[in-house]
Amino acid sequence: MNGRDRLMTVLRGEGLPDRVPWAPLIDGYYMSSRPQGMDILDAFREIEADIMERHVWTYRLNMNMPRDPGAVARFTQEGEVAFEEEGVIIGLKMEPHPKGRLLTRTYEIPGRTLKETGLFTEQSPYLPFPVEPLLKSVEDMEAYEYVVKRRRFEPNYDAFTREDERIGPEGIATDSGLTSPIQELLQHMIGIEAFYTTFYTDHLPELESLMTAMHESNLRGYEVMAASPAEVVIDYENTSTSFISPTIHRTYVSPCINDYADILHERGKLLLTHRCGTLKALVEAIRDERDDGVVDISPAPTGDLPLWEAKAAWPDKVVLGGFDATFLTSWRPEQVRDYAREILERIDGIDRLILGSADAVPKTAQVENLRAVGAFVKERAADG
Amino acid sequence: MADGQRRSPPGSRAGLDRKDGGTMSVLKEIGESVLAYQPKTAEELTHKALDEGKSAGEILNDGLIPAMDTVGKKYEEGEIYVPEMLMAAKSMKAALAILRPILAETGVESKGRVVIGTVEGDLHDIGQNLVSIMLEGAGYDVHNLGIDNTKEAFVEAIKETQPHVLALSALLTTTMVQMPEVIDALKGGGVRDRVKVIIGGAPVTQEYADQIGADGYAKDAAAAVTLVRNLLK
Repeated sequence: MNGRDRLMTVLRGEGLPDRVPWAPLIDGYYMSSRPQGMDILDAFREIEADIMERHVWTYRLNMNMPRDPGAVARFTQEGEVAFEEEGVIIGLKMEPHPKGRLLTRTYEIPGRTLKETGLFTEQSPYLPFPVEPLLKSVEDMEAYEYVVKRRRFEPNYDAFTREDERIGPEGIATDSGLTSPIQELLQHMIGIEAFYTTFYTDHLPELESLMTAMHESNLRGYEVMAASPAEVVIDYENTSTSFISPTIHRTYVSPCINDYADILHERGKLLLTHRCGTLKALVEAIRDERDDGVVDISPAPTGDLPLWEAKAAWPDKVVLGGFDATFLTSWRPEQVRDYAREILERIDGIDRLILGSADAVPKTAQVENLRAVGAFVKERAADG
Repeated sequence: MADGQRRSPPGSRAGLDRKDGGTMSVLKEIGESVLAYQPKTAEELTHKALDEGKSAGEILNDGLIPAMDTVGKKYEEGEIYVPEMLMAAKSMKAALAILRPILAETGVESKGRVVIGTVEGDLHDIGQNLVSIMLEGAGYDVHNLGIDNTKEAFVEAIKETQPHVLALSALLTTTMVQMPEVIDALKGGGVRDRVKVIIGGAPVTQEYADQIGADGYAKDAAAAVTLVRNLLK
């Protein structure tokens, strides 16, 4: 069985694979520790993993980046660019900062300008730390609703197909879905503290109006993904009771996940959700949701759900994950291997199961530790 | 909009039932307003308590601290979560803002002084902010240094503030390695024996705390309060 067949057999829940797949979340974090210019597919090969490449988008969001590739290149090398979409002027600026590079994004609409900043640092070179949130007042929420209603998702299927073909039989490319509005607002646009102590408690009607607009926009995005060549879409929810309660999750997250899953299922596609935090208190809520699998599941210390507990909790979903960032960083290869053995011994059967990292593999992860898991699953299969 | 005039958000406890038929003491009512996430009520009741002749110390020790203890207990038992903790803290802070100048004026001493901050390179502040909130609610004087502090900044803060406890926070495996650096700097600066060092954050464990010579580890904000209490006994 090749990597693609192995992964798809497990993800579709159609029969048994020849062995348990090993598909850690390899992205920019880990790649920043590899030799410059290394192909991400070689990084998977180096650790004997089944290639499950993330963030291969099938769509383009009109307000994300300018259409001119030259303008994108100029801006990312510490420059400035502005472009207009549907009456909204979007400004992007990258400038040096004592701690790295500061990214400023603005949305200019009639009567108001929204601004957010984020900092790329040595510790986080690909995902900026939020510095100034986009939404700081009720008026900002209203203005952003105006922006959201003008978002358009344009198919970018060729780019996806090219990458998927490049992977070939070794694995699959996965699309990145759109996150439920409350999680987007909590994690990126407002911030957790302000969200709960100001917006949620004092301005709920306005907040709900914005979340409705964001969700309707997301549904349009999922329609584009559903019609794409991607078979698997991953919604990066970052679910965790570190910043959401079961009541709030059921009210504002579950209905969104269900809508996204329904759109994809209608076209035979799968929805997986990235949930890398503390999940024990959300087990029942997640069980009731209609996504096909939960990925990047974390045991302690980052999360609280060992993979065997996740498998028992969600027998009808695919579960992927198990290896916390700290294990991959500070353990010895023998320990990692023993833990892989423990996971498989505690789980009855290998259907709907993929070993992977809990959250993204950090740049501090040891190659030998990652390779130990890949070698172990192969040896175990060979031993029958 | 005033409390009670709007629809309660899911998860909130606005409109909490009174259990004593209306004879509850004002201090208990203040506590209840914290537990019901009603900051405006907490403010009004704090003014009322002061008008009735209660001291700021009484309001803090017999109204707010027991309420925040209950919040911490409910959090530890999984009855409430971070959103509810933050909403309760908003009410506690509203009352504390009225009391703080009076407490300073009357020389009421805090239960202890804590300096807290994330280590160098780490820009995530939600965890340490929660710890700060819960420690303040438990009656400690908290100096929050914010994010991305160098080891030198921690040493300086200890010399200036003379805290009983230094709390270090890190969210990333790439930044947790700064924690032992800070402890070494405290030794180098001759202040390690003046302060208890506690650590927390997603990738951090008790094992790691032992390994780097910290005095304690807390898995969350409620556990941090218990840890500080035990260390300062």
